Amino acid sequence: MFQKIFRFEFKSRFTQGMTLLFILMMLFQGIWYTKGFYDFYGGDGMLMNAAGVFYQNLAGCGLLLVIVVAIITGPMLYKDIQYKSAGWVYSLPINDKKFFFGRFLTAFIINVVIAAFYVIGMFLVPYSGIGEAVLFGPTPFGQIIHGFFILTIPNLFLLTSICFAALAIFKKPSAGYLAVFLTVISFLLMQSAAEASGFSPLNLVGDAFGYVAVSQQVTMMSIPERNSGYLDLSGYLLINRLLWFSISLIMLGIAYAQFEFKTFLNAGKKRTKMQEVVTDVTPSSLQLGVQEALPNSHSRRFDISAFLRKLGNLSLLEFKNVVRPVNFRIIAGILVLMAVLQNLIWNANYYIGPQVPTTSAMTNFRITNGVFLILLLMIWSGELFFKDKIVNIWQITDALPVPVWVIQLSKLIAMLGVAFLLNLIFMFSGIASQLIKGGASTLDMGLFLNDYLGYNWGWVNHSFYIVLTFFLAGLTGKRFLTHILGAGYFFFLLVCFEFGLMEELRFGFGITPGFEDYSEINGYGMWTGASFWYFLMWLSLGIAMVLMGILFWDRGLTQSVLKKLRLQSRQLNLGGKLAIPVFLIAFFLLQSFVYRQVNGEDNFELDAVSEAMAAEYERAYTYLTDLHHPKYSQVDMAIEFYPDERRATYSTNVEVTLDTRSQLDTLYLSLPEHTKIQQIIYKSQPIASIVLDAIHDVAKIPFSPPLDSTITLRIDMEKTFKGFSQGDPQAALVYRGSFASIDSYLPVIGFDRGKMLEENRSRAEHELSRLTSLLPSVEDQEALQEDAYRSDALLLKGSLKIGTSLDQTPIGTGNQVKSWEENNRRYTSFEIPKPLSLNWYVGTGLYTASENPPFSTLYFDSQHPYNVALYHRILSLGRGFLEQSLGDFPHEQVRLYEIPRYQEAVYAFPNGIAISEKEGWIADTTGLKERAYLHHTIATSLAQQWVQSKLQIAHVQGADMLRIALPEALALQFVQKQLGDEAVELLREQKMKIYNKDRFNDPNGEPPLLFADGKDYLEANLGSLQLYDWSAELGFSTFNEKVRALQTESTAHTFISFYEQLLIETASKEQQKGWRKRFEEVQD
Amino acid sequence: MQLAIKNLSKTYPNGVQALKNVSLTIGKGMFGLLGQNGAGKSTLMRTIATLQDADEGSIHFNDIDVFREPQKLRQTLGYLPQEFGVYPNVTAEELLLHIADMKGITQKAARKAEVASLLERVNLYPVRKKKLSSYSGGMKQRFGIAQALLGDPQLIIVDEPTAGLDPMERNRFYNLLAELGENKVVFLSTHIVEDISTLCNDMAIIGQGEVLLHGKPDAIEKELEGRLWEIQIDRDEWTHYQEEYHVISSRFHLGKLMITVVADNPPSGSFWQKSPSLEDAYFSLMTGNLPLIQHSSHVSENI
Repeated sequence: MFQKIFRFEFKSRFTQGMTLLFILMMLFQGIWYTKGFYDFYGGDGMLMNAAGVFYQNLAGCGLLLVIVVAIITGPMLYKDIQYKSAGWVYSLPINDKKFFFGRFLTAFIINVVIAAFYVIGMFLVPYSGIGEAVLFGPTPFGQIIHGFFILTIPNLFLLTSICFAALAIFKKPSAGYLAVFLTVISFLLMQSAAEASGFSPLNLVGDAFGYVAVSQQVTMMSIPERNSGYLDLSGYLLINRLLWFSISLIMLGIAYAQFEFKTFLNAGKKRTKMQEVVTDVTPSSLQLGVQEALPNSHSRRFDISAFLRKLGNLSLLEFKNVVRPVNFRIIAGILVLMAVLQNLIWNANYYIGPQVPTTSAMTNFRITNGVFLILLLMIWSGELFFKDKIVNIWQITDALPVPVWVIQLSKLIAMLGVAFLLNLIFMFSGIASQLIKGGASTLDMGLFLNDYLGYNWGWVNHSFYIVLTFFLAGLTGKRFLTHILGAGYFFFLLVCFEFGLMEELRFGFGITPGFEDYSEINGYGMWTGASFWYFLMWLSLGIAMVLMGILFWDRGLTQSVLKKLRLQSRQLNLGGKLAIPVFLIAFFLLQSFVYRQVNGEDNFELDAVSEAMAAEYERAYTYLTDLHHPKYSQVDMAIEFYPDERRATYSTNVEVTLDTRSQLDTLYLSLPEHTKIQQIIYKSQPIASIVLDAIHDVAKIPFSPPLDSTITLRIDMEKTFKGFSQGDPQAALVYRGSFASIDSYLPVIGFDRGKMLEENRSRAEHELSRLTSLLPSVEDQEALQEDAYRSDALLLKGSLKIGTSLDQTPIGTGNQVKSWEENNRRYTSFEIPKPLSLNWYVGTGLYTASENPPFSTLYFDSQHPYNVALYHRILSLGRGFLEQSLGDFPHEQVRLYEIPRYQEAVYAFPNGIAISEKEGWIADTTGLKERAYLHHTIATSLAQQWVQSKLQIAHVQGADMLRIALPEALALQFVQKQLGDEAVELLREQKMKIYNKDRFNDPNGEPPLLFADGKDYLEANLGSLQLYDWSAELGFSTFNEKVRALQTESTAHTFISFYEQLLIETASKEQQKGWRKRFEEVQD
Repeated sequence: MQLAIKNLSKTYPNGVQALKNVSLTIGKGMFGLLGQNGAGKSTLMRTIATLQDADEGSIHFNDIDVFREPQKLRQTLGYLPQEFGVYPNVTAEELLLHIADMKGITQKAARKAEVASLLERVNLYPVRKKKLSSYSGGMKQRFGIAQALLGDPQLIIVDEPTAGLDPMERNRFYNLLAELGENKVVFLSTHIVEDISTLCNDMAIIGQGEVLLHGKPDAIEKELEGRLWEIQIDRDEWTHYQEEYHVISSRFHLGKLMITVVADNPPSGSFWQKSPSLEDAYFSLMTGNLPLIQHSSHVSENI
């Protein structure tokens, strides 16, 4: 019996086009979820195809798999009732129980087979191109199969048995869906409880999928175990599996006992009983012949107003048809539940830890779940567009006297309405979550509306994909082809952009730039305009696609694509047909406009072009490295910011000093991006003979006769961003919250290493020599004389005068001398009174200020006052700690600025610290982890200011161990003193997470700490922890004495010399050996 | 009022020629189209109903060129396809109201009245609030009939309309069609010969995409007057009779095999003369024993 049922059902399931779509969805989910889990948990040092990642994948099942299971399982038992075949099927000479069991096993096996494609997707991960080869180890086949058997198969067994039990008991198709839905809810609740409050026996055992118990085990595994270890089926995981397998068996037993043909058939018959009575006994049916006149013909209207009214009515009807069915409500319910849980719980962990409830956090759901939402909307749309064909009523509806545009547009409008409704629900769930979490005061309705209903990956973007489906439906006339082409194109876009196969957003239908770069300080900034133009571009194409969708739609029998393209269809009038090229032309014109704004204004370059340019620059100017160049010895800059125009003009008096070895016959200036020299004044006269290489932005200023001493020049320049970017937020000049290094303004003298190709793989492609290090060796005598912060500058004094619009506050470096208003603009002057590295930062922002005289002043967004008092306190404590540990603190005043989210986490410069808005300003600091982070961030910045002011660091390998790792280690001491060892351990965990995650992405390979050459993941994380541990071993005071002693040395410092001093202080040979291993070798 | 089909041809992409130079002129009243499965009946009906293009030829209904003005034809068309489905989650009344709206009956009250009246006529009024997914096959067919009659169509095309109806309903439906046929063109497709003979004043037989015969049913029947002979035989004699006579049909009567043959003169043996029916004419045509194509022009001229 089972064999017969299985053979028939299996064959019919796997010959359906929809099953192919399910399979593609599973393959996609296998790859996508792997990347998702790796990105989220990858900090633990797991390979991307680590066993630990796959175990979590397999336990979680995934939203798509659950939906597929719900779609497949319910109808397997109920379809005979649904399609009224029960009457003859149930009367066949078969046993009800055997039949039930056969259908159950078949559904279960089909679910397992479909899920196997999820596993195949995981196997394909290393070949999918989603990461560098170094991120992948050998595929853990055994572990995946192990996980599939102990996690996925039991979970599928549970879902299948629960679904069958619900159907057998309640005899309603909705009961099956609901049972699956409730199971998923229980899983989500347990998972979110574990995320929010840690693992507990309740969530370890109560999670129906065993995901929490798997997560717990993976968390406790060592890195090698995570990469290739087997899950230990014991403890809570074993209990969980046994419990839920038992529940599955009980459910199956109940269903088995309940199911009988007789009773199950009645479930369907209840509804038809009345119909039979009506058909049989209504007197009129017994009277033959015509007993009354036919209805009068009423006046009928076929004018445009009648059609428009029909369009409205029909749209409403179609909308109801989509949202009425139970499966829609269940899927929408799951999505809403996910939105609420994410907003209330998961979102909190997005950055450093829990954060205060801001609106931008509440709208994040649309980004994290946009892919699934769009996919679902495309599938729903396809089903609706082909509804008449699916239910086979098309011959009736297509013969009705209604134009195609009324019928098809109504479906399109209905789907746009469905997408709108979903986004509206997500928006209200976000608002509710923000209010529940106490964020009423920061509720930003404008942002909610803009994000969920606009074109920043909201409803409008969703609508574009519905329109794409509409177009494909018209073009192909085939339901499954529409699904496959639509979903295929969407996945293709995702994969191409994710893996860099496609870089230009103007080729990604429906995508607008900048939706992930919202800053509460700067809003969407330049993206507001950029995304508008992209929106207009896609709108033009979208309208053309809608018109083509109507024109091509098969009214009646399906026609070949070639026939459709003859455009003879009368489904659009001449005006409609002419509108298609008009909108296509508009689209291409807008494409051209976008291209000019993005590419034409130098706001974007393909990676290949950038690399080629960099290689060309290196080949053209590498000779400069053999020449002697002067160095900046004094800089006095007056800069005028025009934030509304994203423009700055600046006049810089620079003193450049030659060493004694050479004369200056040509000054080579490498210009920063988007800058141009207006004039250079020498001895009160503009230099006329400036030769500009516009391709590589290099200016050559010849001096004849050659100079041999210090000279003073005035360089007048302008920096401006025109057009708009598609990916770079161009943070140096934005509307509110401009902030950038002086490197973005002041030209580099001589060869600009910043323009070099740094990745060895790319260098090899462009036939450039391999780099052994990004920094010169400690043997390089020339480099030993150079400053690590800026090799073309000596330690120097200087001044800054910064002007900006009246409503903004200048950001500057050095002591703030005075502020004033002039010509309806605001000015602040700063001075650097003693020689320091040219590590300056400038900017302008719209700030509220908070002073804690005499030391600290905070400049922050008025919406983010949450941690101001804490920052003041930490600044004061940090300064005290440094004075106690290292002697006097170099600055009498320190300004702390809040800068936009997309900036690096923290910047420290003379008298100034800048911290990104996501790195503490909106943190919920009730937890130790977050307080530790804030303490550490501020103390690191203060220590960096101490280092910058007290030490000159040579521009050689290991420089960042002094510039970055040392201040970080000192800050860990501070955290230990203020908050204890537990706080340090929390920071250690976070630092190791970053180190382990990013070390594998280093394209040139990881150097030993002693020869560290400026890698974000290395010095600040592993380097700081090693130094901290060494300081703990030596004793903080001993270590700090060594640091303090550095300031007395007059020569430029190298880390290796400091390292050797630490070795001398280290007591035993064995300990020395240990430290040598840690600093002179790359970590295992 | 006239439906004129001229030289209509259609070949599907797979090479099947569904219609071959079909020409028919159909006037007011009921017109029956008879043919085997796959003869091209549904293709012809769908083409008239604007659901399919032809490769060649033309169709005119009164002054409407169907291929050029499909929208105009749809305004006066009632079409019941051979097979159709319904939206599962709506009630009969909802869907009929919706179709009435689509057919241009814009006034709500008028729409409701017409729908209610038709629901009564097709005996669905008591179950009008039930979802269509719960309807039986016969009820669904009656629903289809109702929707075709909505909006006072002048051209009614019904493709195998009585499939799934019980005898009572079938009878009732034909009465309804006959009534409609008094003032409209009703184009009925069926493979039940009796339906044509009972209802239609004009008919055509179509086979392999060609009009094999066009005429009035009684005239077609008369063509076999005096040429049909019937005999009761044993089963083992079947081969012999097939070889010796033009056998056009066979049937069982009281356990005995009865065969009908065509012959201009009385065959030898115990044959008796049979009064011809339309079914005999149909069988005769299908077996190649009735070359009556010429009737079409004769009948058409009388319309």
